[in-house]
Amino acid sequence: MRYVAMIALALSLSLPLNGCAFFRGHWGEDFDPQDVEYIKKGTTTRAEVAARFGAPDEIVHAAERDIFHYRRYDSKLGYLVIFSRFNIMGDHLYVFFNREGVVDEVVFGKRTDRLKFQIWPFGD
Amino acid sequence: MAAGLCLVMVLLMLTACQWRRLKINDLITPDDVTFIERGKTSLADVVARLGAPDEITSRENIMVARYRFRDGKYFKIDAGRLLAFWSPVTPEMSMARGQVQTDVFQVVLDANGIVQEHAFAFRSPTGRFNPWPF
Repeated sequence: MRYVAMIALALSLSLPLNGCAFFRGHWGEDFDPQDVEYIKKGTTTRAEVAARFGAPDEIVHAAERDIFHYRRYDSKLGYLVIFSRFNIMGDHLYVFFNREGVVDEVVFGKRTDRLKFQIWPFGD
Repeated sequence: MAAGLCLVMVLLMLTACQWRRLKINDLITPDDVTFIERGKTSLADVVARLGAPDEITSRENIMVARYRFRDGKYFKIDAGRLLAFWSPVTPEMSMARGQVQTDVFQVVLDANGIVQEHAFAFRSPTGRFNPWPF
């Protein structure tokens, strides 16, 4: 009985020691909220947006308007022996310009604030 | 004695298992989009509830906003790992299966940014942790 208990204890202790890892990956630069607030509808121009944020990752021409699309991705991987979980989320900034090249609409969403290191693969 | 042996067996079996999960963005369910009304809800309203879309494309006078999300589950049992405790050779004797639930929620907007249509592009079945590959 004692041997069985010792083996069980040794195995249970060796499980977490066998390996664990945490990885992080980024693609693109993080958005500074102050930079986003700098964009004002009806006043900020295309050139000013480009000067502040750089060239967009994508330009979409939609309904006779140009849309600058900036994006950033963040990923976190937690690994513990037999469990692992890899979470990826993206932030997106869309700046809509009217025909005169002035900002018409700003759409910004930051999901990476909610990105967590997780190991447990079950549940949400 | 029997309980101890069972515990050892369970721990041995656990060392042979792997549970992996991949999640890209939060899942959007049909319940999350009930607030959208055709001809009334604007892009700003949608963004306020669901966040910024992953993609906006255009065709003629309409825009399409797409939200993409994926949830993958992978489960593997490698019986060969059990040999590692008393054998110098650990051949792989695995059964594994991965399932990815993927979906795209699409919102069609007119030139003024008002929702005209919305739908899930393809709703794949919810994935489960299941090592049986056959």
